[in-house]
Amino acid sequence: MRATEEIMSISIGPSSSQAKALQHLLLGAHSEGTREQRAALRRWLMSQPLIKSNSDTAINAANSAVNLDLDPWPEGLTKSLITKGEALTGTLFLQGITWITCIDADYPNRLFLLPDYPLALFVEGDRALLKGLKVSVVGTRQPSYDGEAMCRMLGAYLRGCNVTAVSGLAFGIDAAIHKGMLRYGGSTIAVLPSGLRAITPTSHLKLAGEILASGGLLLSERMPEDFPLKNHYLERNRIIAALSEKVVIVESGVKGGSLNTAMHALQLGCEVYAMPGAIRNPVAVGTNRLIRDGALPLLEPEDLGYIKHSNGGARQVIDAVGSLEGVKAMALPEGIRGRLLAVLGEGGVWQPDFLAERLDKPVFELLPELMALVLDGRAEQMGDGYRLC
Amino acid sequence: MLQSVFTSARIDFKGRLVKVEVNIANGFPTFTLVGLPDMVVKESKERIRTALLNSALGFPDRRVTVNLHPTSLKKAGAHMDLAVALGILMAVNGPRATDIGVLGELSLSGEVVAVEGIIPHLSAMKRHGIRRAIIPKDNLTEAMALKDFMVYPVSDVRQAYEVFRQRDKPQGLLCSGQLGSYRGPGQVDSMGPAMDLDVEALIRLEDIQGQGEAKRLAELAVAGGHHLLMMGAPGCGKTMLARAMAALAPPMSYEELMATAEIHGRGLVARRPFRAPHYNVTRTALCGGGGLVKPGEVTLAHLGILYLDEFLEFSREVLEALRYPMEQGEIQISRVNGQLCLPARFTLVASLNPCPCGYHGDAERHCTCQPYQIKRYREKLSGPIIDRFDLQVILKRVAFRELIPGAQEQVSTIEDNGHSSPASETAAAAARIAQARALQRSRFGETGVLNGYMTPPQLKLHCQLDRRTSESLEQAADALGLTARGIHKVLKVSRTIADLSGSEAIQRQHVLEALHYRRIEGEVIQR
Repeated sequence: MRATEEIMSISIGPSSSQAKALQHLLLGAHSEGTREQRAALRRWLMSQPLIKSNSDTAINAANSAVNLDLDPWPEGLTKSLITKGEALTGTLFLQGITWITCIDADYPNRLFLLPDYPLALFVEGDRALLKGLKVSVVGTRQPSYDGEAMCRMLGAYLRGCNVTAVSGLAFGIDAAIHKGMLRYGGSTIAVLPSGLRAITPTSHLKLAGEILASGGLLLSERMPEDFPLKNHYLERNRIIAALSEKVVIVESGVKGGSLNTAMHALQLGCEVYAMPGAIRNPVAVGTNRLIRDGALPLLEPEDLGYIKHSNGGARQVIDAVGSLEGVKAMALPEGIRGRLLAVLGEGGVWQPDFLAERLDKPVFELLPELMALVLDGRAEQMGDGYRLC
Repeated sequence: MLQSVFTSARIDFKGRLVKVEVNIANGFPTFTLVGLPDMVVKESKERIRTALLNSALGFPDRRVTVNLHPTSLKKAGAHMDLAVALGILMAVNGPRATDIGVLGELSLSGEVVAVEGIIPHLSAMKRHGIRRAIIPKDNLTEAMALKDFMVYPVSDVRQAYEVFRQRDKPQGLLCSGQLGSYRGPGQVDSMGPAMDLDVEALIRLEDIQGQGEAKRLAELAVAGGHHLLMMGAPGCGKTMLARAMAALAPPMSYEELMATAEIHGRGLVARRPFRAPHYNVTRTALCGGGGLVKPGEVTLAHLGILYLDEFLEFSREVLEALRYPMEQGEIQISRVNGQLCLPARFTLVASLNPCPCGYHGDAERHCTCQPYQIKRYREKLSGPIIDRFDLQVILKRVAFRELIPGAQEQVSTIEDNGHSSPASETAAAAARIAQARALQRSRFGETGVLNGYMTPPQLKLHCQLDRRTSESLEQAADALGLTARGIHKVLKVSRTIADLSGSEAIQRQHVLEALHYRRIEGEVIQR
């Protein structure tokens, strides 16, 4: 029996249940089907008028698809996939995970840009975020202080503009941007390389919980219990790139997953932003090269060009971003303290030895002053140096 | 006829007075040695008999019984040969001097051979009121370091016998703490091997480019005996700094010289100990122990520096064993045969890499470690251990420009005009250290206790803060999350900073600088 006839043969009963059967078919194919079978389904869907599960188009599509040729489609497969998909919905319901198929209204349209877009997604949290403005922010797992600071500033800015930040819950920049959004009460989406019940890295379980608690969203195309394989990280990157119109690489070395995300973003026609850094900074090499190759430089969050909303969030932005100017505007006190503040005000983390060289003072004369600045809340100690708060 | 002679034996690293009792009675010729001698001492019977016969002094053909008192302690070493021999001669021939100690090993020809480490034996005699001793000639330079002691250097058993008989009122030499050519840091000594440390390997402060902060730490650690923890990428100068500290260490006082000579037992220790065991060291080798207890590295480093390079490569067991001596300045060794408490007042200098590949946080090289690797690597550095380091520093690699000799010279010719000679840096630091040590001596006495080993009551007494300073400290303790021990450490370091600047009171800036040096704790525990 031809597949379409099989689909036709199910169309007994009310239209909504037939649409449900289509959803179950997609879910079943996503979880149990082979790569070829999924490709065949995608081809079939492409040949249809825009199918949405909540309208009659689903039934119309099925009805009008008499001549469809689904190539690797053994007999009885449709039925078995629908059964499997249906069984899966029960399991997912018990696990508290919701799912979205590509014919659902919540499915992000931009994912259709991917030749191998997922037929179904597993999500946990507020799925309305998928329809809002999004920007993807990724970067190295070993960020410098500047990278982390940029993530905080981005958090404040994006919150002010009601834009959702999408990232991958990895170490480093990923975690920093999630935290940055949480810090200012913004919403954030984490796209996982693993299943939703096998969160990786495990040390970010708490962060994932915080994202959910703050009204964010966890998203994955993997089965909930799946641990990530090596290629899953790279495949996850294509979703991060496809979800947003703009992709920001905060810091990246010569190699790294974030450059892979940038490549996907370029293929999908996203605007790619990269934060420039010192030429010898190992985690700025990748981003600097991106800029040379045509990426847009991100010097401050405002470069993203979103419009600030005039609610409370915007004021927080000014507070966070304006702190440096605030310090600079303050009259500098006399003596070593003033000179120290002036040098620290140039930005970055200063090791005591470099400060000593700049101010031409023995290092032990500066240390008490630096510590006094820390106690006064003007500077903070960063392990290997000091910087302004 | 019964006679007795005093000599000494090293038991549990202390010299102990030993009374050699010799009895000669009629009967079949025998030679019996009792009083827990070990194999070497038992063999001395043959040496003594042969030496006496070869020196034409004769050996009695009667029942010779020798007892070594105290009889219950095991005695080792051949240095009691001469005492037994003289005891036998006296028992045969009569007249004697009772207040002379005797030390020396005999060769078969009757020559008196040098003893390894004579100071512990002479000190033991001194403690028991014996003020003069016959010693091998080759031990003279070592013995001269002692104070208030008369020695009679001899080269063979006949000469020793002459001295012992006191027939011609022999002239002794009065020891009065002469140290020969031993003068202190940077000096090659002629008094015996410079133990444990190759003098060639010493590095002066001016040999280290840049690293002003690290040099300050070296100075502080040496001045106050503070434990120092250095974290930094490979090649940032951790080992150089440790070696420079060895060079900065001030010469030992008389009491300290005696204490180290006693522990090492191999002659005079020419400069402050600098021990750098490799990380394959076992716990026993570090703490001391074994069937016949031997001192471990912590004890050998007493009054000096114990340098543990690649700190995290040491086994966890070894690291945790350091906790007690780091705090108390002594180590207890419990064995079946009993408990032994050995001094271990060392300054621990430890260095480690920030991560397995070594480049985490480096400005120029990328770290290739996974976050979990770094976490696992640093987990070995337990809280209690970090907490015990008074000084903690993260070192950075120096810019290449400062390392290239040519570039350096250009700068110095333009700026210096030759008026500040490079040698002044070590000299100035050494002078400040000497001043700080003098202040500490006036505080704690001559025993060599330093600020780093202050007890809480001493801390209360010597680290008074004014109101404003203590408020700052309270605030900082809150902000930086210091433990009670952490606060004590800050106070101790502040005391040393004040001592280095010659200040009697601890001022606010001293405390603030001390606070700066507790950094790795925050860095590691945060992660």
